[in-house]
Amino acid sequence: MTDGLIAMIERLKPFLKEGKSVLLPIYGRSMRPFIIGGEDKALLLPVKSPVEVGDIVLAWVDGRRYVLHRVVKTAGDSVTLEGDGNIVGEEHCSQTDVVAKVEEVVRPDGRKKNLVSRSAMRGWRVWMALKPFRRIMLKAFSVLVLGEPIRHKKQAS
Amino acid sequence: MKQKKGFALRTVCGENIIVAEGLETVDFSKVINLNETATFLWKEAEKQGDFSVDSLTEALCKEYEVEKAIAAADIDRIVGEWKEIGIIE
Repeated sequence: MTDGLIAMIERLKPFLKEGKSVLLPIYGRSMRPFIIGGEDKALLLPVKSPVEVGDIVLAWVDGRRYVLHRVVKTAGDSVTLEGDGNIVGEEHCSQTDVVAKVEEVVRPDGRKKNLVSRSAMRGWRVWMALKPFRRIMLKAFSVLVLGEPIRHKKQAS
Repeated sequence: MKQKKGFALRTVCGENIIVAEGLETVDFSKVINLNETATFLWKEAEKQGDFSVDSLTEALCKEYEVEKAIAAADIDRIVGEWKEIGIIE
């Protein structure tokens, strides 16, 4: 995570504190297939109550960086996060480290996509149940849905 | 030229930025950083309402010791950027 990115997130915190929501472009693949980095903009909402399993949040994790990931476990003040599009890895923070909650994203065409509706949450639970097959499903998603090439050309050395 | 509605100058974390700010939502996909000169010019443009490169140049030269030709060239560039980003009309 670059200093520039951290600086930008620090800049949007005062607006959240005022009770405003912030529309933030998202990059990266760690929340596929639900949030497409490079395309979607996340609508960040101020956090009004403790976050729960299934919430998508922006948080300062492991004392060193910001992530926009899914809450997979809570225990008292401790929160465990995981990227929906990650095969391995989880992050940890406390409830007070959570900066914002995400309930919808805005697609490039301006359409809003609700990520916390009943059907969206059902979709997430299915996604989590199929975790053993996540790698192949992400590959299928990137090729069939996003139109990415099957193989990336090796860089000339 | 005029500033478009919905863009606000805010000082956040010691920096001056322009954000597209509605009543409820702030659009961070369109954040513009302003240095000291650009901040002055933006505030001037707001004061003047209907402004031009000339009117801003006059204001800048009144406030800062700078050659008119150099100021005009810089302001022309900055205003050009604002037009491209879409924050003035």
